[in-house]
Amino acid sequence: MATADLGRTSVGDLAAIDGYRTLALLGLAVATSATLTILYEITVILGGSTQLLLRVAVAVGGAWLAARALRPTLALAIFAGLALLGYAWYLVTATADPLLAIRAPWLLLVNTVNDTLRIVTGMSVLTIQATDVWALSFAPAPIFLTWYLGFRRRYAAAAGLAGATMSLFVLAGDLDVWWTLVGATGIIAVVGFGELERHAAPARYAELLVVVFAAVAVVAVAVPLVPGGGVVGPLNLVGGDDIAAPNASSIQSSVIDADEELDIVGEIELSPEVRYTIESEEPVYWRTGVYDRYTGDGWVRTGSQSSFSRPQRVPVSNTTLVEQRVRAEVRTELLPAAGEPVDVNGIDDVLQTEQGAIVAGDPLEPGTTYAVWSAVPNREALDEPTGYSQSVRSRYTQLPEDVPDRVHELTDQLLAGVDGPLAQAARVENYLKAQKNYSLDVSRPSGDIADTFLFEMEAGYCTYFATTMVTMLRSADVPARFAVGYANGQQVAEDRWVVRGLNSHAWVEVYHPVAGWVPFDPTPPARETTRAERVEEARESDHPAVDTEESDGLPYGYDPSPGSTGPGATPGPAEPPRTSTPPGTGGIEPPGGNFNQSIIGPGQFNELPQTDADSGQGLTRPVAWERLGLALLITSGLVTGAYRLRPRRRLARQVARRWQRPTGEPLRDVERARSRVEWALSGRFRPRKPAETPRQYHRLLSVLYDDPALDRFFEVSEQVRYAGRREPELAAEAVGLADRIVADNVRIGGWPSWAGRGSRPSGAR
Amino acid sequence: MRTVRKWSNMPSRTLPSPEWLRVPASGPPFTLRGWATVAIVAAGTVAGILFGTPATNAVVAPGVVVLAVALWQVQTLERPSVTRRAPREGAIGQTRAVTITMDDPPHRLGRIVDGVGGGLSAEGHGRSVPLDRPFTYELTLERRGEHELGPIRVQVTDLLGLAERTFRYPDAWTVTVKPRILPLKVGSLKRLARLSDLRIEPERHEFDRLREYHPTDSLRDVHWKTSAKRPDVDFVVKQFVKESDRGTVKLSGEAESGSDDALADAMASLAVALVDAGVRVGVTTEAGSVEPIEHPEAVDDILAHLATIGPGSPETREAIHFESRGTSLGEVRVRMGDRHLAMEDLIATVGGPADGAAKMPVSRRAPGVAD
Repeated sequence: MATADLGRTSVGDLAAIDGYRTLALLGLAVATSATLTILYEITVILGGSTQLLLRVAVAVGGAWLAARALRPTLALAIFAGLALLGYAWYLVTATADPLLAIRAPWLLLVNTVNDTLRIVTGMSVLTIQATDVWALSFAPAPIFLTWYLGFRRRYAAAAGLAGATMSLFVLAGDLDVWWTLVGATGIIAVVGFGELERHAAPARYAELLVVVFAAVAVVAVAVPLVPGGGVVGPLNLVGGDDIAAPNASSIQSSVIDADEELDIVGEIELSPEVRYTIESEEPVYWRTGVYDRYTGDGWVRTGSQSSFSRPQRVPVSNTTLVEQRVRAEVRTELLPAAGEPVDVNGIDDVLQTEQGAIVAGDPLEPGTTYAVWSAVPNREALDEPTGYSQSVRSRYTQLPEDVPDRVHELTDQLLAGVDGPLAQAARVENYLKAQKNYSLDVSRPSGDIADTFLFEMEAGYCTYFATTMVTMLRSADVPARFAVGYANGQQVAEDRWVVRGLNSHAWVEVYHPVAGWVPFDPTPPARETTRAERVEEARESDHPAVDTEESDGLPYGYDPSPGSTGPGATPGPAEPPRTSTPPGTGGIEPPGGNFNQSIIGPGQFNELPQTDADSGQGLTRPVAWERLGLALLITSGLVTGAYRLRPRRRLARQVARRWQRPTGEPLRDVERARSRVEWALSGRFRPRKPAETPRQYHRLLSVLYDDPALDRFFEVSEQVRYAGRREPELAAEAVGLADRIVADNVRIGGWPSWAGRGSRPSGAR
Repeated sequence: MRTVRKWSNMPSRTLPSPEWLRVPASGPPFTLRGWATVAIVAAGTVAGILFGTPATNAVVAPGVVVLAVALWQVQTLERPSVTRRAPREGAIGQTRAVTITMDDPPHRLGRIVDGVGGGLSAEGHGRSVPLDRPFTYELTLERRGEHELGPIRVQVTDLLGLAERTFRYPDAWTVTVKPRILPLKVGSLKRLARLSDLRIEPERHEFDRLREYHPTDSLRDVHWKTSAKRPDVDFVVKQFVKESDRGTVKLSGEAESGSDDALADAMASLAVALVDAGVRVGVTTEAGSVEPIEHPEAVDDILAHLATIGPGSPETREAIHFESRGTSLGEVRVRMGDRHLAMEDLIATVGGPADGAAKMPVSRRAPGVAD
């Protein structure tokens, strides 16, 4: 029985099929890696990265075993079990009161729906409670099922699941364009190579897939298809100058946004625009937001907002009640208030974050005034705390796993022999003030901010100082957090300040069980010159919003004290005076706002450093390996496309079919003339079928077309081929006839039917 | 080797593709997967506009690209012409190759499905394949009779299975499955001759001339040496001298319900043996009759006739009359006047359909005949 190859695939095809499977699974690995990078990043920041890798490995290994042994229904049951188990574990671990699950299960559901909605509408997954637990419990189930399906050759389903998982992080804004593109390419690879395997397709079918990859990369990066969210960002192939522009504007506008994420950027600009006029009994720091979760390159605020309610118990001992009246000069939803606000008057809809900062529910219109009373801790009067509750400890001593050891070592050295959290905080505060210079002109470090600032940078601005101080305190197990807001602006009366955008600031708050959050400011005292100059500059250029009626004409309140060139200029052994002024109590160092706030949107590319105009270095970009990968992808696509079209070979073939010069070998000439004639007539009639002998085909053509030239041609070629008359004259005649037949049947630039062009008269059939 | 024949000798037909058969394009030809991709693109766009999700372009753009490629791959395709090569006839139990090719094969993935009627079975007659490769599947002729292949359905999909178009070729193809021909015992014909008035003499194989191959020829008769020297024809076979006229025999047969297969097998076996021995054979059954003629392909007419007979009695009884009352071939009685034999006594091997002998191909020279 010679039926072995009927309907089956040959050995060569089998090799291709195995190759397709490998490529499809590789695609699946790429597609899942997009999700895994985010989960891994989360666990690096919050702890548990080893645990995560272990779980992923077990899930993939389990999927491999299950794919060999278990039916899909069973695998689905395992998936459901894993998902439920993970969810239950997350609830028990993340909820402060595990018994809530029994008492009010619907509340948990509401929380979950709430979290999901927040993520889907663009909040980072880092903003949900106990993201590390969430990541660990979330990972195994979808990864198990995805890989089970992949191993079972259900590639489309596997790709769909991988895509659905990935889409969560895309919607949350955690995946940048590059990683999303990588994931999408992986998904296309899974489906494409899976289809090629299923169809037992020859390798040339894969060429189109490569072209598709390239097209996807080009379109995703260069064509903004989505009007709102189509961030093309630094991958923009056209040019770089326009990239800095939206970034700059986002800094300008960011101060009016209550963002949940704060990325640390490089060089920043200062806005001279007036934001608030504040009447306050004390020159306190007016806080607008607090961040608790440090990611190594930025800050995230976790938890949700709720309506503001007066605290049941106001800490009266060791605190001062400060009344502030704030008039908004721009449209804003940020409510500057000293910590901790205990009552607000004048606005109806006030929200409060879990950290205690207040935000307006609806943006305030310019001219709106509100009053706020805050309980400000008296730092000098506080006793050292003896212990903290578990919830404070777990939330406010979190540090990424990848904070380098040298940071911890330096902190240990610095705090050796210093007892008590407040004393330790003061020590770190003074150390940073003394060791580092103030500068707005910095380029953003690529590694951990605190580490780079401590060991590789000589200068920075408030964000760097505050971030580093929190890192060091948390390293010493002191609960601390990152606060942003406004430091005092231009004093226009004894108790009135005009606060501009350039007065925005970042500082540190350290927890005290009795008094609450105690502010510390590690940023070196006043680089007010920068601010004064900026204000004067804006005044000279007639900036419309640089002054209010009150501040107009008054000099920016800078009084340079002779001899004080700034502690950063003479870095020395840090043994600062114990009289270091706590912000908020007023003192010898008027907190002039030597800082700039850098709250910007969650876009991944906003963290790009901007053009360094002064030094003329042009754009400094992060390492362009993603561009390299993209270029490789596109190039391979173009090469494959060109190879597929083979323009030169096509052209050569076209030429060879139209013109022929006798070579003197009659048989060879006649064979070529015959193939030319067949080609020419294939457009009018049909190509010769594989089953037809040339003679049968010719006979058919002679009958169909009453053409003497054709008949003569066949006669002559038969003579040469079969009758053995290898005479050059006959061959020359055949070539001449072939020329005529080709000229009669093929248009200039025409294509025979099988080349996939032109229209074939179907009547010939 | 015998079950596979050269393509050129297989009957083939290009199926018509009239204009009215084109399915009117109503909406985009997306599959479920394609519509899911459309939904993802829409959702990504909405998320981008509403929430300003930064990376949505990297979701929407790939979606748009693969959908565009899918539409291009599926919509630019003209209806391909399909040709089926399949056997027109064969014996029970034979496995034959069926090939479906396209005249202008599209460089596309797709699925080809050929309908396989009752009485036939097939393996791989509906498969996902690249459409520009010949599509071949194995057809097993399970039961005697006329059975149908078709319609052919060609589904064209894109590289990712997002869009799909189906072309139908409703043309049916009839395969006639002939009864089994079992070799007779040595001396069976002599025995028959003694019992009836038949004049049957030993056959001599005398070489006559060479001629072109005919599909009914046995490959044993191919003269390979000469075939190799003649590239313009497929094969050359040896033609043997036909014995002189050995008379005419008419067979008739009747079968009870359910016994018609046994009857057909019995009559076919005997008819082939007689024709091979040089006897002109005529056949009469409930379905009519085949007159005895002197022609090398006369046996084909008889086998084709026997392929379709059912239970029942003929209008006339002939000299040799078959009666089938059971399901087994051996139980068939052969009556000659008042004498009779059981087929059991004539057949060399009696077995069920799975028996090795049942797979013997139609051959003009079944062993055992030349006694």
